[in-house]
Amino acid sequence: MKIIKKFLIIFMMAAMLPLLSACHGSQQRTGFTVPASFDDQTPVELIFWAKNDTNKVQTAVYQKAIDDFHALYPNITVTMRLYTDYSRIYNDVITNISTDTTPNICITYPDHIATYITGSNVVTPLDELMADSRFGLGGSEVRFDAPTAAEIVPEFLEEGKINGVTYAMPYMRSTEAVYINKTYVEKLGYEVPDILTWDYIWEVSEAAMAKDESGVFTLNGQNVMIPFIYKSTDNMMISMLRQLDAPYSNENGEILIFNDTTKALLEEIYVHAKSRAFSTFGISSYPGNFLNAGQCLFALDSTAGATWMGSDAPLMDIHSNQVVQFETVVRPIPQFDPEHPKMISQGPSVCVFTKENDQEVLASWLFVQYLLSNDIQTAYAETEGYVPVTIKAQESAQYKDYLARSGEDNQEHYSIKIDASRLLMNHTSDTFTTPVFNGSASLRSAAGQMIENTCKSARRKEEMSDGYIQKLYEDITSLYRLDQIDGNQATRHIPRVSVVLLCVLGAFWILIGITRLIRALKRKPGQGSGSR
Amino acid sequence: MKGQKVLTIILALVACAALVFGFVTNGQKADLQKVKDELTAQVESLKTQLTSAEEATKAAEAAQQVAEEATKAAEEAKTAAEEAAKKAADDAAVAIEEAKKAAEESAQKAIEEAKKAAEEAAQNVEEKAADVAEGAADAAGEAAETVGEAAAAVEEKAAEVVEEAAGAVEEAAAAVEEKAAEVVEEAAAAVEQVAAAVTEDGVMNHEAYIKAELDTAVTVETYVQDTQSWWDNKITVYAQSEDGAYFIYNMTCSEEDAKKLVPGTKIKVSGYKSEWAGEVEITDATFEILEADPFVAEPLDITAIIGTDDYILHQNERVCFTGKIAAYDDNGAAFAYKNENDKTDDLYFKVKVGEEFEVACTVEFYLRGQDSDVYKAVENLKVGDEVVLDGYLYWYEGANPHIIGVEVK
Repeated sequence: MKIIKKFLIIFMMAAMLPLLSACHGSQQRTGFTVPASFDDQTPVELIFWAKNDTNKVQTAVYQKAIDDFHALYPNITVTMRLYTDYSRIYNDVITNISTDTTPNICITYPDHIATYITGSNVVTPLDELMADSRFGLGGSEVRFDAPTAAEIVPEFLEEGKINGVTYAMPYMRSTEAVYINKTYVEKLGYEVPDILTWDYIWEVSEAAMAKDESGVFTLNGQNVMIPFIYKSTDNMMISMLRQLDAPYSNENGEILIFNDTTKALLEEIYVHAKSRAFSTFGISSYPGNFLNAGQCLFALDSTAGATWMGSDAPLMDIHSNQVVQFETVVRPIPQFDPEHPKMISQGPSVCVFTKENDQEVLASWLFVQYLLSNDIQTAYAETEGYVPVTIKAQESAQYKDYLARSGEDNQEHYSIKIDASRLLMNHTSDTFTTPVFNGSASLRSAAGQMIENTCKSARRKEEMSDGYIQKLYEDITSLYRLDQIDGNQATRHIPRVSVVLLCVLGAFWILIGITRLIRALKRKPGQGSGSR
Repeated sequence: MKGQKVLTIILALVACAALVFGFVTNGQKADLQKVKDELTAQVESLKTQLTSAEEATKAAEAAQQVAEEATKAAEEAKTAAEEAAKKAADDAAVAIEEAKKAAEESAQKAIEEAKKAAEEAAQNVEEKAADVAEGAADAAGEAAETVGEAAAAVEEKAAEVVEEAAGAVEEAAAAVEEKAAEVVEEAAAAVEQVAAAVTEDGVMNHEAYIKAELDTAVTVETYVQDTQSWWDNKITVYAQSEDGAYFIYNMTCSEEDAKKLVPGTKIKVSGYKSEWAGEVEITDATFEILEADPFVAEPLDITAIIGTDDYILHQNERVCFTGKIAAYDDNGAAFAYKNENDKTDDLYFKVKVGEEFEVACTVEFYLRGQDSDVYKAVENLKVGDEVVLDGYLYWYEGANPHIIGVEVK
């Protein structure tokens, strides 16, 4: 009987185990742990998804980084796949998460990572790796001169954090700038200030719309003039709202963009879109093409697009016989409060994807660190109006020499490109980023789409009204599913059935415990627990 | 002892019940989760379809409204033209009347003046005759005769003048009537022309589309010639009818419908006429498939047209042209990849046509990918190769045909 009872008890315990499985969700991927040592013998192949600006020099920089890294770590081979579009990388990563075929390293934006990390242990948290004394930033066993944490621009480093955890390292940084046809602005009777205001840019743009009796624009003698073109309407709305300290979203993923300030901004934009003084890349084409043809005064684009701006730009998409000669100057984006300028911080970051093999993840991290080394940072930054993300590279002799040679030629030392880089270096503390959460990428797109829709409606002679704005808000919410964004849900609700089962289990064990206790108390001294 | 047995049995029964309950619950939960997932997927799909249907319905309603407005405008134009013609005819009749009246008045006045002059002359003659009455009887008689002749001549002249004036008035009236008739005819022809360009349900022919202003709503019926890859419920279509071609950018389209857009399919497209970097296109478009015999355009040879004023008139058409491969860059390469690392993006190359003109060509990756014959053919091109190219005359800051076929001579 004793044996039977023991068997039944064991069987009962085993029988309880399936109940516990009813309370759990999907299986968890194993997290990464920093290995005790780095295996430099076993071959490791890393897949690196990179993004460039359709720039051969950037491709060459990546390839050199891969080759030089391989020379330092012969057992690590990096295979690169190049994209020219962030959204394609994002879509491909999302697709590959479900099949566990993500790359090892990926150029990305924090907005995108917020979606990636909704899966369990998809993106490797980097804090432990960064702080590791051997393989961390500037660690003792790193085979190259890597920056320490203190040598990375703190604002840029902070941008890679989501909910206090670092998921991305900054790779390059840029901001937006206005590339101005100073010759035409002065021809209109205006001076170019150090910091433009929104009132100024609207006023000058409208002034540039004057035509003669034959319908030709008096400023440039052509049939085409779009004085002000904004490349990224996402950034336009976000920047305007930030400059006015108006709501956009918060860390909890609350969508706050549908407010009266947004309405007032759209109403202002409508006016200038209707007069055709303002347009967007989505409606008209690249601001730089119009600028270089003398058909635009204020081309607003990334500092990473500086090589396309100006009469002497090294990269052009229009025929040389369409280019007009003019003086180009670079300024920060227009401000509502020029005393306290605010501009967006942007540019590629890089993340590491968790794999079963911790050595693979460690190798990926080492390659990420290599991308932060001076040679790579300065070489890549010099391809466009980027700045290196490390103070170490920014203050290096090589980079300082590069900046000092501005205007020496119209290629590597193209003055507009260097002016754009200097602009960001001078205004790093004026840059901002937006809250990152699952769905923040959709919100960003929605912000830009509101401006696009407003401009199209203005051009199509649709009326601006409260009703129009209300419908626009509803359409945008629906199109981007903003009402389904759950932000950063920190906890998952436990189903009621599981709660009940757990309570029942607990109750039974308590009951068993009480029964045993009573029996033990009732047992007379000298009597055994068995029975005959 | 007995109590222990009972307790043991109870515990055993509880264990079995818990086990069964656990498995059943697990199974039910798994089933429910599966059902939930399926339903969620269905809801998402239905939501997407509903959104697309709503958008399509809205677009159709907007298109219908536009068509109604266009029909109304056409009718108003027709009415206005008729009224104008009628007014012109009325004005012409009034003018004729007035001219007649004026001519009659002038003739009358001329007659009266002539008569008055004749009377005055007669009076003078009589007075003179009276003064020389005695010895001037013949002279008086002659004078009287002269006056009579003069009066007769004046009357005759006046009559001639009246006749001529009447004739001139009649001619003028006839000319006015003729002109009025011409005006009415032209107005009617113009009305007919407008009516022909936009049908009652608002569908434009190509000429009307070309004449339409940018950023206005347009509806056309045309035939699919080619499409770029479908993505995210959008598709870009190269379309052409017998009277012209269209580029329809990012048209709303489900994945299921995208498979139906094979070359030759007739579609009715409603959207907005736009221009991007010189390329005239239809944007924000929706469509419906129409039952009709298929139409696939033959490539038009534009070799002789390149560089002329007529070049741009063939924008978006299926074209072919002959030329020689020129160096794409300073390194003398025959072509360039947009993404040379992976070869998963556009190809660019240039073709010299004649002595003067160079055409920048693109193999658009979403139209013909790296496994296509044309992609591989371009990769094998050499500078100096004489080629016949087949494609769609796309425009990006100038002519930039999207090439779908290359033949090396």
